[in-house]
Amino acid sequence: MESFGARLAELRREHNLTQNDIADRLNISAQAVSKWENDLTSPDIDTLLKLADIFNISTDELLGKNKIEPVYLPTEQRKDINQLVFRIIVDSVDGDRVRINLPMAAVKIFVNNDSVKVFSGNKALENIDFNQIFALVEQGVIGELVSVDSADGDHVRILVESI
Amino acid sequence: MKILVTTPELRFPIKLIFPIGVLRSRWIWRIALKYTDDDQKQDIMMYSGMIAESVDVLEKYVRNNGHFNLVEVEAKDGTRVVIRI
Repeated sequence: MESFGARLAELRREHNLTQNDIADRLNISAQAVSKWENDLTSPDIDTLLKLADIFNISTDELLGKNKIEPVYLPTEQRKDINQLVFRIIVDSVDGDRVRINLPMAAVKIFVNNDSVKVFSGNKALENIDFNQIFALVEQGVIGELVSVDSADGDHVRILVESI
Repeated sequence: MKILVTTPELRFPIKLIFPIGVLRSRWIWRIALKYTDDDQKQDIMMYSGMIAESVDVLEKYVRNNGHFNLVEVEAKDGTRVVIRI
């Protein structure tokens, strides 16, 4: 499970915010935000709630709890394919980080041809069966569907989340 | 589509902006084919159709949900590339 600091930094970048932006909204210093992101200190409970509001997510999600377990949704609770996002997260052993966010409807176009692998060019994705992942999603499974380490040490996670 | 590149060496980020609608243009793909090796031409022809189709999906997604980062790459040396739709 990724640290709180890494999760906070990831969320901040996803929302195109700087450490100063977060600091301004919380009325604290940018250094404090930097310390959280480097896991040197942690925010208090009140600040966690405010951070969750900034990113429009729950505190569970902010702490990285909700995203881990895949969940099966019964038919009546399933979202339309246009309401799902397919995320590929690669943390390479040499410190590079890759984040790919694709609307699920766009993935559907490529999935039958294994083109996701071709476009990514990442060896860690070579043995992942994207057709199977897509089949799981069609059957109502979302959440973190893949978490693997490649032979060369890269860590790959694939998540399907509702918007 | 915006492509944003920041590196520790550069004092300012490089920003490239172009409409993703151009990826539907046959003219663009003809240029791509012109500068592609023969063994990859088949791939280009196959993917051009899928990419054009995905442009429609991306545009619809942006209309409904707003702009988003399609790709973010952050290298260990601090270089960061963001493709934002």
